[in-house]
Order: sequence, then C-alpha cells, then structure tokens
Amino acid sequence: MAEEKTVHKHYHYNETDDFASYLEQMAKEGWEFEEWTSGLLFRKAKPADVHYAVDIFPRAKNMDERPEQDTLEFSEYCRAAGWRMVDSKGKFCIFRRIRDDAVPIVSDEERFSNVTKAEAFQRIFMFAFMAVYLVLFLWIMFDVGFPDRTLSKYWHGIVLVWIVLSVMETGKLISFIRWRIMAGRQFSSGEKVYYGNHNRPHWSEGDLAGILIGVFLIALAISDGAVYLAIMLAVVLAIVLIMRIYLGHGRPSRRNKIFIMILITIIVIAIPFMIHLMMK
Amino acid sequence: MAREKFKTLTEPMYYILLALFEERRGIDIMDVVQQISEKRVSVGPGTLYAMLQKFEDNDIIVTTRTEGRQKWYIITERGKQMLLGEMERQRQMLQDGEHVLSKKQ
Repeated sequence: MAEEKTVHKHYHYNETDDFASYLEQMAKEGWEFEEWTSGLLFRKAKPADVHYAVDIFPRAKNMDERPEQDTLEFSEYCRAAGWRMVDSKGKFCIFRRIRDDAVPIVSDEERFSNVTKAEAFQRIFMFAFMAVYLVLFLWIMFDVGFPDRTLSKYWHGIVLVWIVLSVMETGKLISFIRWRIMAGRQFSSGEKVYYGNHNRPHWSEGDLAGILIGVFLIALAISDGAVYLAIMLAVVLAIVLIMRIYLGHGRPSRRNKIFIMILITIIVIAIPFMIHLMMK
Repeated sequence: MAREKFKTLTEPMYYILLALFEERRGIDIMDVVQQISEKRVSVGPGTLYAMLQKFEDNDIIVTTRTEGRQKWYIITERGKQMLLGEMERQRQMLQDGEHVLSKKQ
C-alpha cells in the first residue's frame, strides 16, 4: 500500500474552512497532510481526529512557494499559542492544533478582513489581466494593418480560448462578489461566517487546461501553415511545463522565484528570434 | 499621524502596550497579557504579530534585540505618552459616568 499520495486540489483564499475540513477528513481516513509539492502531499498515518486551522497571513506574497522569513517568524508566535505550522504557500498557512487550550490565531474581524482583502486582490488582478489581454488580442486581430490576421484560424483560436478563459474568470469574480455580500451581511449581524463553498469540487484544473490550450493552439498554427509559430509555441509550452514542475517540487525562495521568472521571460521573448535565425 | 491612527486603543492594543513597559520577547506577550488582565483578555498570535508590526511602523514600540526568529520589544516614549493619554481618557469617561449616575440615584 502506498505510503504517500499527492492530491491536486485548489482552494481560493475565501475557502479556508473548506480547506481545513478537507484536511481533517483526510486525517480521519488515515492520511496526514505533510506539505505542498505539485499538489497536497499526504502521508499514511493512524486515523485521527486532528484539528487544523487554515489562515491567511497578509504579509506573505501570492507568489511564495514556501514559508519565507516573516511567515517563519509568525509561526513561532502560533506555536507558543498552541498551533504548529505544517506548511505555507502563497498567503495560506496551515496549522495543526497541538494544545487543547490553543487560542484562535486571529479575531473574527481580522480573519474576515484578511480573507476578503487577499481574495479580492487575486480576483480583481486576474480579471484585469484577462481583460487587458483580450482587448490586446482583438486589437491585433482586427487592426487594419494586419488584415491577414482577421482570416487566420490561429488568431481566431487564440481569441476563442481567451474569451472562454475570460468568461471563467468573470464567473469567479461574480461568485466572489456574491459571497462577499452574503458574508458581509452575516458578519454585520453577528452570525458566524463560513469561509467556503460546499458545492465547489475544488479541482485543480489549471495545469491540465493549460496543456490542452497549448496543444490546441499548436494544432491551429500547424493547420494555418505557420511552422515557426508552432515550433515557438511548443518550446514555450515545454518551458512553462518544466517550470511548473520545478516550482512544485523545488519550491524556490521568493528571491529565487523572481530570478527564475525574469529568466524565463527573457528566454520566451528570445525564442522567436532564435527560431527565426535557425530556420534561415 | 500615529496618534490619529491609534487615537483610541482597542483592548488588545492597550494590554500589549502595558506588557511592553518592560522589555519582552514577542511570543511572551500573549502570556503577560493574560496575567495582567487575570485571564480576562487573550490575544491570538495573528493579532499580536500584526499589532507589533503596526506599533513598530509607527514608532510606538521598538525592537531591542533579535536572536534567530525571536525579537524583543519595548515601548517608546511616544508609545508611553499615547498609553497614558488613553488611560486619562478612560479615567475621564469613568468619572463622567459616575457623575451622571450619582445624580440619577
């Protein structure tokens, strides 16, 4: 029997209660959460009633792959109060209760504020990102200087994919706004706010969708006769995949991740020129 | 600026600053607050950590030393003035309340 397993689940910042419940359920079934890798890594253990707290640490950055200095310092305070930090990623911190008299990590007010700020930033940023690129793609496609692009299957494909992704992102933003209004009312009337959405399956669909979209665009470029473009896309897709695997398993520090991201950006920008030179 | 922001202190703020009249290690403040308030007030680690950062950013407390991930803090002169001002305000409130109630009885 396998001693460990990795589960690919994704939670939003306003789903910390769902996340903690899931970890507690896994512990009951004999799977103890160990750390983040490419997904959530669980190790086989004796079935136990474990109490987890999933909290948002505002000083952490969304890009953090592992606990940074501030988070480690914060974890010392939590340990003294009866919570052992198991792991952290982005602004998520996962704690396991080690004392029955452990006091809550933050007050209800702070929790509400930390969760809503973190999730609002994430949703608005992603929505703006998708919208800006959608406008850019449409502009490139319909710009009078590039009439061939209005007929190109490849550009139709890009715009179609981007519209689908933008609609999905808009759905997430609307869903968050609805949750925020409802939770805000509950909070103001003194009711307990539930941080989660029982109905959402929490699939971690991002990587699979990314691969499918990449392959779809490569196929479109080939059928459009754009060989350079197809090769370029294939190389970019391979680099992005290697980077994703490295980030999941290597878990670089914030500083190293910034360095890697800059390096990848330079490589991706340089690829078209390199391929063009090679094909000459 | 700091005075405006912390014009009135919340209960946890008040007790954290009281605890820092002596130099203390950050993580010990939670226990000290419980002792001072006779277990009436407890401050969570997230609340305390965030509060210490805000106080330090506003020169209300200062880090005296750092050892690994542990830091020691003490209240500054500015913080003391702020705390004493808050105590005076609360004393005044209590006095006013007692004055009004004694007239009614």
